[in-house]
Amino acid sequence: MPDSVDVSNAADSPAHGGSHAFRFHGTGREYFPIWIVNLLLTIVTLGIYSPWAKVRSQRYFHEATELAGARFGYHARPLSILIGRIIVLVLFVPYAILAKIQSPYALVYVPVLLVAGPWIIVKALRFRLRVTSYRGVRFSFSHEAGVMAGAYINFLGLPILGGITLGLLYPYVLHQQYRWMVDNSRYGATPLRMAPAVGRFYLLGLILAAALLAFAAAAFAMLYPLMDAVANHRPAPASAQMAPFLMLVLYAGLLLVTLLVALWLAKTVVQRLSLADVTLSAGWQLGPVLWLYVSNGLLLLFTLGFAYPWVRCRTARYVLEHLTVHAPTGLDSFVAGAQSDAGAFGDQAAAFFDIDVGIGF
Amino acid sequence: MTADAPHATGTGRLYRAGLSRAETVTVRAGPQGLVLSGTDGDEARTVPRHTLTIVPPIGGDCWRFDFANGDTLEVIGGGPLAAALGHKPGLLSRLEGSWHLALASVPVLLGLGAATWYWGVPKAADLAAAHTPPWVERKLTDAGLALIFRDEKERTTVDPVRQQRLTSILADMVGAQDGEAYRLHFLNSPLIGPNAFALPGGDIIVTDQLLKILDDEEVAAVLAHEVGHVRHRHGLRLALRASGLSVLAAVAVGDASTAGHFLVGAPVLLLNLRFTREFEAEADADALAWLSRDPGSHGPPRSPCAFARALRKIVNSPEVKQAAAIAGHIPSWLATHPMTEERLRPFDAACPAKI
Repeated sequence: MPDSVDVSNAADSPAHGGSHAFRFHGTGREYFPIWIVNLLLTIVTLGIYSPWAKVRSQRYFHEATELAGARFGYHARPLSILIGRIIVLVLFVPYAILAKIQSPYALVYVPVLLVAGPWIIVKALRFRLRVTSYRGVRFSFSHEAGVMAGAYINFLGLPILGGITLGLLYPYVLHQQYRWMVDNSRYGATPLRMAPAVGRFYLLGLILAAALLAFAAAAFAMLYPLMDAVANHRPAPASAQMAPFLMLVLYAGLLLVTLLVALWLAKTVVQRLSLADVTLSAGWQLGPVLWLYVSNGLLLLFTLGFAYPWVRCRTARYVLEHLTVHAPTGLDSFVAGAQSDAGAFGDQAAAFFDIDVGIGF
Repeated sequence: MTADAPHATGTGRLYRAGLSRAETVTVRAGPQGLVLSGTDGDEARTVPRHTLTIVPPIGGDCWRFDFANGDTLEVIGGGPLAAALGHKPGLLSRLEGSWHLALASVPVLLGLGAATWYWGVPKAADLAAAHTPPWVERKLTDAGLALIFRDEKERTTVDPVRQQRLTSILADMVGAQDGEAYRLHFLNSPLIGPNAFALPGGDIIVTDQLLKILDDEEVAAVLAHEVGHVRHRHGLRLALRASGLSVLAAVAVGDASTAGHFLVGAPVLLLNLRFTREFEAEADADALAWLSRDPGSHGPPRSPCAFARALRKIVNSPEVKQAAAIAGHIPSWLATHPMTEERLRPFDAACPAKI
């Protein structure tokens, strides 16, 4: 039996601890033809190829991502995604049409969406994590009995409560949602954990609220003299000439604050994650992120979208290569979860809801 | 044994089923399958070809070999190994590696995109508009009307007798079978100034400020233009075309974490202006046709001269002049209405003589 030969004592170099930055090996040059083929086949097949295109591009990005010498893997089956998309289409096209023509029957969907929402979130998270692997070990999202209840509390109950308290509870709600998602995620049999950060979430919420208020007040102060003059048949004040320019400056300022808050939020969450003794640190800075954001937009605009592969790759490179994993006892001691073989049917069903779940400000 | 594939060797990382521990192994392609040996090199095992699945990379050069027992082997630069095991690259991966194909596709995709942008979306939107039942337009308009006539201050000050006269001119213009759909509204709005506009579904609004500077014959000429907008369903078609283009622009530029979606608005806006100018020209043609037709014995007097007079009066009104001063000089490609003189050329040509 060749399988019985023991090669385990051919010990790998660093079984010991250390810090590893992610590395991203993808390039726009390499991804461009892949993206074009995906695009062409999707157009030629009138969209039927799109799940295959999605899997191939996801595989490209996962397999180009290296951590401590090993690559990530993506294992979704395109056919399951296709069936899922067809189901979603059949369910929601009537709603889209009813909503567009402002038919009261569209309201029938509101309770359905409210009730189905948390359930879909759980299914989507299970699917998304289940098809991702690293070092031959799959990620997963909890199958425990309390998960569904948690989803309804965090994605239906708490948001309603947040609405009742006029948004005062909103940073807390967001915090609980993040924490719930992280705490139910696993790498193999090892659960991820997120240390609480309610105070930081409130601080960020406060900054954002202050920025929005300042923006509204400044915009009003600027536009009021003009509106007043027009309404009373007086000539527009000289300052009116400057209004469009000042509005642009204000808008850019608001955009900057929003970006800053989003960045801090991401850092806050990432730096509070832990997987056994493994932790993360992120070195993202506002300046480079802002430059990435603006230059990507300009690149896409001036190439009519053809720079998309480069935009995707340079974004992935910046995000990943400024993310460091600290593993004091190495990454060798994780084992696959007990559910890795069971629940295959559930995973197939989960593929029906291949929806990218993301929350944020 | 290795004579058939002497260079098909490599170094890989082996992960046992369910364990994250990496073992560095030397890999070579043997006649039966992959031969793995540890770094010390004295023990080796053979993984038979039929028990392993070769997973070729998509881009990059990281080859994966999945064994039937659940083990996974990652080999950077594992192409020769796979080839020695009889793996042939598929059509898809050959296409995905071809820069010739990719570059040749760029003009094709550009052409396709441009055709959709300039021709596909407008045609599709017009088709959708043609199949939209009239009550949808009515609903859209009722919401708009409620918003416009909310303010008590904006109650019209126009003499009811004149209101009646203008309403009957409109009824005469559109004919009996369409008469039901058209309604004339009067709005006192210093903010808007002298203007008239048509909402989808047949509601036409004229401002008191317009009626102050135009006589009935000139108002009729303006109404003929607005009726053209209603007849060709310009309101609905514009809304549908604009949303179609926004979707297309978002698909091309918006799907990335970039500032792209803030920037796509501008070109869509410019294109919208192209549509509005197209629609204005169409409404002008309708107005000219109606104004050139013989009014018959009982109808009110009409002539293409009236439209030219009306437009010049509007453009020269103090409100419009002030607005133009704030906005500065607007080049014609950016103007909602084609530049006045350009627009009036056919009307002037049809105008018999100075009255």
